Amino acid sequence: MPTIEPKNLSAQLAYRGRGNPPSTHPSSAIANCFPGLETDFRNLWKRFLVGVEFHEALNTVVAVEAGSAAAQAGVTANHALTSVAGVNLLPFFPAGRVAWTLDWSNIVAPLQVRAGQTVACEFRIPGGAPAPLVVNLEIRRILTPDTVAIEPDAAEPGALTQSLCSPWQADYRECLCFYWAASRPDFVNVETADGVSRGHNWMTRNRTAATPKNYIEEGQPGLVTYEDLYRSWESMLRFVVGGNDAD
Amino acid sequence: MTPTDARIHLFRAGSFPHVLVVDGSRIYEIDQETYRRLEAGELGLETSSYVTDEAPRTMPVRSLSLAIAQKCNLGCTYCYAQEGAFGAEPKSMTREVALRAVDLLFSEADPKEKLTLAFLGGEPLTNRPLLREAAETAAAMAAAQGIRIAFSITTNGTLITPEDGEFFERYGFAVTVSLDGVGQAHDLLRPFKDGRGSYERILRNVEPLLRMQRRMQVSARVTVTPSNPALRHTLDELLARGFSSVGFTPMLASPTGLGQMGAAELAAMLQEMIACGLECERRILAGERYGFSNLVTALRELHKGTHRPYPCGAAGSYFGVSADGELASCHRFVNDGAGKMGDVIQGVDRQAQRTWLEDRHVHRQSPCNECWARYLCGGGCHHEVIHRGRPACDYIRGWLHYSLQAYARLLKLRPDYFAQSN
Repeated sequence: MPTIEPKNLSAQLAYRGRGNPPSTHPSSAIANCFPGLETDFRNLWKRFLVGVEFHEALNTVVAVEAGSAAAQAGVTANHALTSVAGVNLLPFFPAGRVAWTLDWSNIVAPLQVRAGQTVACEFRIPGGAPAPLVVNLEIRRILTPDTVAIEPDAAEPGALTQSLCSPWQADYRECLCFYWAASRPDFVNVETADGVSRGHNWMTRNRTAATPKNYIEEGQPGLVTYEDLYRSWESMLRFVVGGNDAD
Repeated sequence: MTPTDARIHLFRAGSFPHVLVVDGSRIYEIDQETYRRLEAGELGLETSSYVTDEAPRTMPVRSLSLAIAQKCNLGCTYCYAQEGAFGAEPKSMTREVALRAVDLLFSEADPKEKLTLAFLGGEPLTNRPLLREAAETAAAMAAAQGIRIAFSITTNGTLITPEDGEFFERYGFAVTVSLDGVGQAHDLLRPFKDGRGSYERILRNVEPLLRMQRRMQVSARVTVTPSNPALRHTLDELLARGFSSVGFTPMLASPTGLGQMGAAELAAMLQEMIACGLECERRILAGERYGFSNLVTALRELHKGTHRPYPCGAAGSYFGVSADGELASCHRFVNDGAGKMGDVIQGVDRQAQRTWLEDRHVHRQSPCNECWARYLCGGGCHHEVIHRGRPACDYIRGWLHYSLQAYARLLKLRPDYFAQSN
């Protein structure tokens, strides 16, 4: 097997692992929408504190390593990190957990200058006691020093691609609002009487001919969800012929 | 040297085969069979393009060098400034021009980047009060605007005082002293105008600075001519005196033709440079500091993979300012129509800059566009190329070939060295 080992930094940046397609390179990526179509860099921050695993986009703890300093202090899944290294996270998470994805990355990434150091962290259970659980935790080093390689401990194999969007399902659902191209309808089973049109939103879940013809707006219950599409798009979506559901 | 096509350059470090992929200056270690097949032309090469034909259309000013005095007390035979006055009447920059230049430098300043203000000449210390005022003004503006600024001076060292040293230390100057060898070798090339030698005086003047350098860095720059070929001796002597680094540059184009290096002298110089480099490698392996700046710089740039279609920032983000306030492509083009770039009142002549950047792009230079070293060398010093051509290509390629080998060797044996240098 031929060996081609990148040595200097520009070669490391340009390197493409054996078997990886071109799209695994940030420079050839499309990534037009979070979490991206090729890699999801948010997964790098999931383990930024040693012993704790966070949700990729939130301050929510999803797992705590047994025997770690965090576990010994009583941190559990469902705790939310509300302060780290003197940075108060509460303003970013007014409802306890909701944040814009990039805010989370932008909060966590600058802490890398203190990688290897132990810093004070505060955890709270959203809606729970106001007094935080305070514990000193080590900031994990994300990149191997002076290289562009990800530290093996920071991300397990496959971590960078595990939370990618499923492009067509996600975009298909995202573009619900009369935006999607002509290849799909939006307003179906339409009847017009007295100058008024009545029909179904094409994403109305489990509709039949008897389902009342009220157009359900995005945000209201009763529409097909992202998860419905991921799990069983083929039974959730229906053929529409001539503007009507084809049964 | 291995003949190859201009997209790659093959080299060995010890017995380990390597390839430089020219575009992007990417360095790979490869196996013997891949090396053989690349050498034999059996393998195709598909590489993404980092350097395009397109020249930057405009670039903001980041660095200026002020010819704060277009006069000099030395009479060096090879000087591009023709004994300091650039072929005209000796003169000093006025206060108005210097302060206008500082304003120009700050007019496009971006807090994310670092500005550089350099003082050259002539001998800049013949206009000491203005030098200090300009530096103090720039430092105050930088502090007020939250912008980083670096200062440098290139001096012949004959007029430096301990008070100058304190000033340079306070503002963290990079002080470059021109020294062309040890004792007589230097005196022959860099005498006072009356013919007396200058070496002893310079060393006496510089000695207090060498002792006080903390923020300030005092380095020596050696112009190599056929009469001062003993580089290793010069390097060790000057480093032992306390210079933080010593660098060598061959004299390729002098206004009189005196002191220019020919092919045979450049070949001999390459051998001397490699001897210095091998000693530098030995010292790095031993964990010692050894300020052979040519190699230290080459190692740093190769590690990053620096690739650029120009040899320097001339007329890009860097300009020289003449005593009269005219902008030039760099400090060497002062009073030289070939590098006229506007003035400190009107600012950069953007059309002239654009034409320069388009014409001087290495893809437009022949035979550079067929040379594997093009993005490391950038096509050679514009001033030398325009006035003499490219007599030193073999020397440059030879030095880069050696530097690549040294890089690959040191990366194997002392990877920590590159961690420090980042």
